[in-house]
Amino acid sequence: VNDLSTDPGDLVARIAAGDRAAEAELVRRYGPKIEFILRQRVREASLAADLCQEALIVVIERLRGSGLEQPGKLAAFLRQTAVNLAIGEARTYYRRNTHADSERVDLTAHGAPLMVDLVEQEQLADAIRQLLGELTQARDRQILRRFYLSEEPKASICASLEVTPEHFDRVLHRARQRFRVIIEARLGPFHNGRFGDKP
Amino acid sequence: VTGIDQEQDRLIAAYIRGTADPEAVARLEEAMLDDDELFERVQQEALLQRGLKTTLMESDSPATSKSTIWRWPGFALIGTLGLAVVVLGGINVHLNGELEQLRSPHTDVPVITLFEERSLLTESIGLVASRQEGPVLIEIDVSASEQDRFQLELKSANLNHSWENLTPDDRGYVTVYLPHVEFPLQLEVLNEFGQRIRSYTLE
Repeated sequence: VNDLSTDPGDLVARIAAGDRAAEAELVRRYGPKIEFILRQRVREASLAADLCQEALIVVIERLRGSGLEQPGKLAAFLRQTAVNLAIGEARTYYRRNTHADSERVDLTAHGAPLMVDLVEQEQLADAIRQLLGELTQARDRQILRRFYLSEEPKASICASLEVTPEHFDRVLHRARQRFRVIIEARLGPFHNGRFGDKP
Repeated sequence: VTGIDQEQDRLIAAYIRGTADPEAVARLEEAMLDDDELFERVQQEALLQRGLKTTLMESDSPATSKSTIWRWPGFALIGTLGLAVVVLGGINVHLNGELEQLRSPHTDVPVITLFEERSLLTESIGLVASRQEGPVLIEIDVSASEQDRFQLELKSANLNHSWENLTPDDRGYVTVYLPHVEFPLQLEVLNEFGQRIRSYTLE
């Protein structure tokens, strides 16, 4: 499902034409996702935020200049730029090659926080307790515990608890669905980077 | 639930755990960049994994309670504390004065230990505690119960605390921490289904 209003190719073309509003749209649309991707690699949130800004600057400068050979692959280019920045040598490379014009890249649109940053630890713990409390089967609680906490492979959990892989998948799927309902019941629906807004 | 949904669930879970193969990671991340709904599912999985890990780890530790209590400096040392106490069984028991205060060798937090005394049968359990000021640990021996999870409710004139998913430590004790204590204190031990197992009044 592509929920985005503007085709990535159009966005690339508008930025190439000097449309600063398109740059802000790119930052707003992709900024949180790039930051999330970077957090998966560097783990340190502040470093991920810095690298995210660098990635956005690099990409916007590229789009202002030589552009992309395949504008429809903007997402792939963005991701690869971010991944490269997460690697030390590439980071140095891009920093060396970020020219003075980057000062004029407006990153203020990157304001939407990540979902993981919006939920207080206590709210999260309460929601998880409710989720676990609603599991009537001790075996299902064991599945969650061993998969998420002990990080055991699915096959060994299924074997030792004598459950089918289908049952295992159902337990996890239902837990995810229920978790979403619990969180949204407590904080409101999640939309546009925040809880509580109606879509 | 479709097979595609479950396959995507598995990939997302592996991605957040860091066990997905690099090609699958690249495909997922590129798809996520142009798919808000997918991004939301990935974030939700990250939140679920973080919540389960922290909450289950918390409940596994010898001394467990709500997160406000976790903020107390040095609370992680609580697992090493104490001699025990208590009450439990399936019947109400009277403990006359079976209340001890022990000092932690690690944190200097006083410990009120409720020793088990199953031979005494009464409707209520009245305990006389030396008046404590400041933080205190309360340890309850639940080794007589066949349950593996407990809830604890505590009430006094100005305090109202509850703990869920308390798991006994290796000795068979559950431990909770109170930043402040006041008497008289009403304590109720419940099983994981909310059924009362035992009540105490500390005076």
